[in-house]
Amino acid sequence: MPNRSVAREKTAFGIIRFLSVFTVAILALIMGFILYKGLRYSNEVRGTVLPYEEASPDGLSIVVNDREGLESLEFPVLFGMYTDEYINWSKISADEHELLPVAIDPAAPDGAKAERLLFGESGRAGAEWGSSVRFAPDAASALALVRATPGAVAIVPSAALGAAGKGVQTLPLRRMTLAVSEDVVALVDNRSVEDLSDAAIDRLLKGSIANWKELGGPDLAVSILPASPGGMTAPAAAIAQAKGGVARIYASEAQAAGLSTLTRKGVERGWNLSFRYLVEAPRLSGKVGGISTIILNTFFMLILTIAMAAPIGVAAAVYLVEYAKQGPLVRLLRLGTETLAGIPSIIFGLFGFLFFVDILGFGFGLLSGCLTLTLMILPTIVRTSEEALKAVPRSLREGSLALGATKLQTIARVAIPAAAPGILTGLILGIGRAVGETAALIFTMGSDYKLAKGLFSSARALSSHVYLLFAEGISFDRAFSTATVLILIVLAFNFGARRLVGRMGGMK
Amino acid sequence: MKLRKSLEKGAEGLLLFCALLSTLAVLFITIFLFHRGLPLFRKVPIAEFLFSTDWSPTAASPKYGILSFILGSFYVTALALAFAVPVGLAVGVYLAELAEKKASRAIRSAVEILAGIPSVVYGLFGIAIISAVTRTLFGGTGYSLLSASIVLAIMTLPTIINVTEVSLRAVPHELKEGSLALGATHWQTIYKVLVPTARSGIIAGVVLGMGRAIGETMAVLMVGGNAPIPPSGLTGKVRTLTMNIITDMSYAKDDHLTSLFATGIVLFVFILTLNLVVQLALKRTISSVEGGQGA
Repeated sequence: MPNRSVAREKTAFGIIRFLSVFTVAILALIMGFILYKGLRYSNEVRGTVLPYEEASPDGLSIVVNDREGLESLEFPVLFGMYTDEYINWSKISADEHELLPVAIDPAAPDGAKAERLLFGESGRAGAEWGSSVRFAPDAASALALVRATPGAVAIVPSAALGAAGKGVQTLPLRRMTLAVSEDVVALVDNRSVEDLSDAAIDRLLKGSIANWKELGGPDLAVSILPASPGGMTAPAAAIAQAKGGVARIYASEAQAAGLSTLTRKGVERGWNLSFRYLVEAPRLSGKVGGISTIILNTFFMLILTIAMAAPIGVAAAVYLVEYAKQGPLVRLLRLGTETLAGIPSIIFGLFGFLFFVDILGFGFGLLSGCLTLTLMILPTIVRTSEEALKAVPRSLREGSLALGATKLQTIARVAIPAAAPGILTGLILGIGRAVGETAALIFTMGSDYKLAKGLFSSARALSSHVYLLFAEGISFDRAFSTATVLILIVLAFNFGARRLVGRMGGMK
Repeated sequence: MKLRKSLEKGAEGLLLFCALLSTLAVLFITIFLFHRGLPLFRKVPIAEFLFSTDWSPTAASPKYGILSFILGSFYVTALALAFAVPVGLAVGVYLAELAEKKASRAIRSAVEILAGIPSVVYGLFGIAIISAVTRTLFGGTGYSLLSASIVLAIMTLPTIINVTEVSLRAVPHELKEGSLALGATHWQTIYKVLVPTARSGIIAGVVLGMGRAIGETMAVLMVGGNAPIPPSGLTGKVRTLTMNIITDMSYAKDDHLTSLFATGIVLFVFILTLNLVVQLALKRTISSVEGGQGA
């Protein structure tokens, strides 16, 4: 009998231990996941260009005025820039400047080289520069133009960079593609070559794949064409004529020769949360730019909220601890505080919308939002301040009163200072709740992501930004990086509150 | 001297006013919510509002029935509690009775941080992980009753854990020692003496968690699917009362807007009832503990 109850105890405690560890594991999963997604992004990309970068293709350099979040340029994009396909940067990088493609006059030798780069040797005859291209007489003036124009791009000889290359950024070009002969992409029995991962491309070019069937294509032997002497690419004509032929070739040549290319399916990884993201203002609903103004708005909101909630909350606690006598009034006040604490944020949102925005006429703005938040966090502050004041020893108060101080003086100079760490903890907890609030803010504070200009100006806080980035389908990656910032702020407040509690413990 | 006295009196009045503000706020919220929401029932019978599942506020002849959302809130909350209560109880028992100092400190910090994570962040996590997992395991879109309840369960866990621990610690020592002295094992003592004695406190914690779950908006909004139909099963989409308010708020006008405030009234009444239960239950714990100490 005792053995059975011991065994039962062991099982029960085992389950309890497991569930406790499980709770910590959930937290670790949430935090780890949000931080990971916030810091790194990985997106699937499809394209015809291989991830082979050339810093100086054909001795030329592609220079831009400082570009955000762009580490290299794909040939089709470069081609599109010079053929009127793009008119601004918003589809290319996190930017919305107007695009200014600059080229050296094709009559000059440097200009002719750039023309060859863009339109290929064989396609040069039909070269069609876009109407937006600005031609410069030489490399120096092209560089000067790029330096002076935020959205400019130019193709100049690498040798011309040097001192003149200051203030511009060079982008490596990716122009290698995988071209195949026509019989490879011909649709036979509805089979076509699938999108290739980087590993598959590697195997294909190493000769490990003997038949196109293995890649979902037609039943045709793979024939890898050798590169022409001194280069990395094979001649276009050779590829077109070979049976089942495949080789690397520059996109410009493939385009000019009308060759079919295979699609690469790769994964791009990079930093999601950068310093730039923190210090730049959001643009285009947060699609580009950063979150600096939203961080500032959040801090304005917190300061204003705490400036209203702290005095009221502490005063209420002082009344409850120092003045009120037990009785129906105190019971009513306690009931009010408890009830307020239990009201969900959406109801606060409704009330704020109705009362502050509408009836008092404050409109959607910081003031309405902060008043709503003040009501929300008031109970937290009242309760913690009450506990802190109660913990101040009576002897301190009595000593002060005995020395002739009035009650008010005793409270202001003795009780509150002695209870300060506890009161501060309550304030920090309140701020922590306010910073994560969304539902109460969306319909009281508005959602303008620009810097708030005053009490009545609509402002977006971090938590609302996270929601709106997701809800408006703007960017999941950006929602995660904003959430990471939000979590770090919450954790900082949490940590601060804990340090204070620790110090209070030390005082006792 | 007289000046000082009136200053003291004035200060007291000011402090009293501040102390009254919370109560006034509750009063104001109640008054304005009812004032703005009740007029709906002049046009829509209250029974139709509460017991019809037909929600088509923008139709030519608009229908305002929120039964789907009441059911949605109810199912989501019940399921969330079904997940959270066993885990919360276990962790509460662990913290109060079993954990060594280091382990309990680690778990307590974890619970504290869980309680501090903003609900939009829970929502993001829910979309990326919980929806994906439920979609692979059970099919459907992943935006479902099940996903919403799992997210809510995690969110209510801290409340349940904290209150369970506090209630267990409030049980007088003599009871535990008496049970152990009679030869009961630690586990027998826990589930036959400690938990039953702390019962009303634990129930209060569960009800508190329930209130939090019913009132939660953002997280369920992001993972619940938000279809204005009665919940059709675990993997079906769900819309709760809170979701209904926040979804339509952005464009609602006239009667439609009034109906949202009326939805708010229903939610508010639920929450107030739950709060009242908590207050009563907690009062019972306190008095039972005090009585136990007196004996």
